Amino acid sequence: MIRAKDINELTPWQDLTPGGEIYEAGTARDFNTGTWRTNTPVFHEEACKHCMLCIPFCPDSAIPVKDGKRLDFDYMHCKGCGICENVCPFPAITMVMGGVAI
Amino acid sequence: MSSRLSGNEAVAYAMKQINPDVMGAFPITPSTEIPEYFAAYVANGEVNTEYVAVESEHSSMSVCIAAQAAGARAVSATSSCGLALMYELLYVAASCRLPITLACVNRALSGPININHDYSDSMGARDSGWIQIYAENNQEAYDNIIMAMPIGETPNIRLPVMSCMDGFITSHAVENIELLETDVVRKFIGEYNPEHYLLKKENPLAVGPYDVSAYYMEHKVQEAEAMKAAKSRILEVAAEFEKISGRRYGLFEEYRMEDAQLALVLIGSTAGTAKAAINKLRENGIKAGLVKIRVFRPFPGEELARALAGTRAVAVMDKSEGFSANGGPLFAETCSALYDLKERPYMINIVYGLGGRDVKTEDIEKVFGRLTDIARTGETHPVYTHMGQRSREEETA
Amino acid sequence: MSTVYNLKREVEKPTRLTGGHRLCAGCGTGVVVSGVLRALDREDRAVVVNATSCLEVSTFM
Repeated sequence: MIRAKDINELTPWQDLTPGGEIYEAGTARDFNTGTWRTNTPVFHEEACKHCMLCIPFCPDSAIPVKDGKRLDFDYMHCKGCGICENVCPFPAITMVMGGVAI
Repeated sequence: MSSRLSGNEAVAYAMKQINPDVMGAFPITPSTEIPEYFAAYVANGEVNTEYVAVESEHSSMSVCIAAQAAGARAVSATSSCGLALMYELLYVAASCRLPITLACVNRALSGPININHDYSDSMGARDSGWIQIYAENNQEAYDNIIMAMPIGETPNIRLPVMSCMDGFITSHAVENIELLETDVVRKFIGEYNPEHYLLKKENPLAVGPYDVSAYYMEHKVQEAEAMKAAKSRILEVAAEFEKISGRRYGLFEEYRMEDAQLALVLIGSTAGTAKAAINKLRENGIKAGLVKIRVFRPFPGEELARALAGTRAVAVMDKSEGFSANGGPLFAETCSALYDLKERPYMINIVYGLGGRDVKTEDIEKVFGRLTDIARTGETHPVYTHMGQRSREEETA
Repeated sequence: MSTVYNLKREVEKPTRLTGGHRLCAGCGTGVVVSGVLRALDREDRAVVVNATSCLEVSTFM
């Protein structure tokens, strides 16, 4: 079965899937959209009450959740839109200029 | 089993025997009777088909694409403007490599609005990537629908199949027909087992992507190679079909071509008229012959060149206008096929029968009369003419 | 499965719209679609149909 990771702009036509079908789910996960950022969210864990409001508002599903607590941002997929900072009722998220979290 | 059926009845009956999973149903003259008769089979519980009555032909092809992608066998029937309305989806069906079966009952495209036969509808779709097979009569229409799925569903083909027949002439006229037993048909078409389908448990499937320029051409080359491979597969399926029916089919039918000097190339029911005219001419010593194209997509270029190589003058008769100002679609394909022959016959194009304009044996005889002159003088001008229209001037042929 | 909506339970489900799609930064479509898909249960299998649009070209490319 041809996998999405085996396909790139150098793949010959014989090695592409017929009609461009894809046989897996969520292949976009391998695509780095983190490079799009011009602002970056910083997670202040001490202030976070894990209310979970930021997670459903992230358009890129870039805030992972485990055992009832949110974890640090998925910087490979965060585009720096800042919605999470806007939605957070606590001072747990601040946006900084630039593409990296400092 | 012998019977007497119209083309539409025969195709609907073939679909009943095939028992497809889904039919996207929308009426348009002259194909209306296909979903109509099929609806009776559904209502009487004679098929297990999910009959989806949609709001337009665009939707009926959408339904077929979705169903086929989900892993089901989908069929539909349409004509003329209905085919035109599903135009973008014809390309989608072919490029998603979904072996849908469509019965196209050929009818002239509007305008002016005309419900009678010509090939302008399916000729307009000739670049869509669909396999196109044309029938001369109800027997061929019945047989072609049964052969469609074994052709299209082949893993290295995976292309949709348009099975065409002449509107009213074939679809409504009742003729004798030999039907196969249902269990023979079921065994012939087998089961549809695509490797991947939307409802597959083991892995998901995504169909119909957006391709940037870095990928589109490769996917189209795949489709082109599949169309090329379809030629031999069509012949293979026809050979298998001969075993169960005794009827033999090829890419085209050659009628009295063994020693023909003058030949016609045409599609469909006009062949019946032409064969009668040819028989009469042959009695008078004229070496006339006919090539009736059955498979138009993929176009049997090499094979056609071989069939016409021995002739001196050929008239390609197009029952559709392409408005190329250079001749009709069949003429363009035939000329292209014959281009590399060392000895080429003289070729002329006659566009006839538009909007169901009748063509008689006398008209065919006139065409051969012109071919006789051309073979003698080498004067083909004017190459591209129309036949059968009223005109103030005397038109050639 | 409880029928009372519990946010903490719902966001624990693996997201059905992965990051890495090419929607614009901050686009509401991403928020809405991941919300709609969150309505599916973990064991549900779904077929998603997309007409040509921003969403379609950004998520299936």
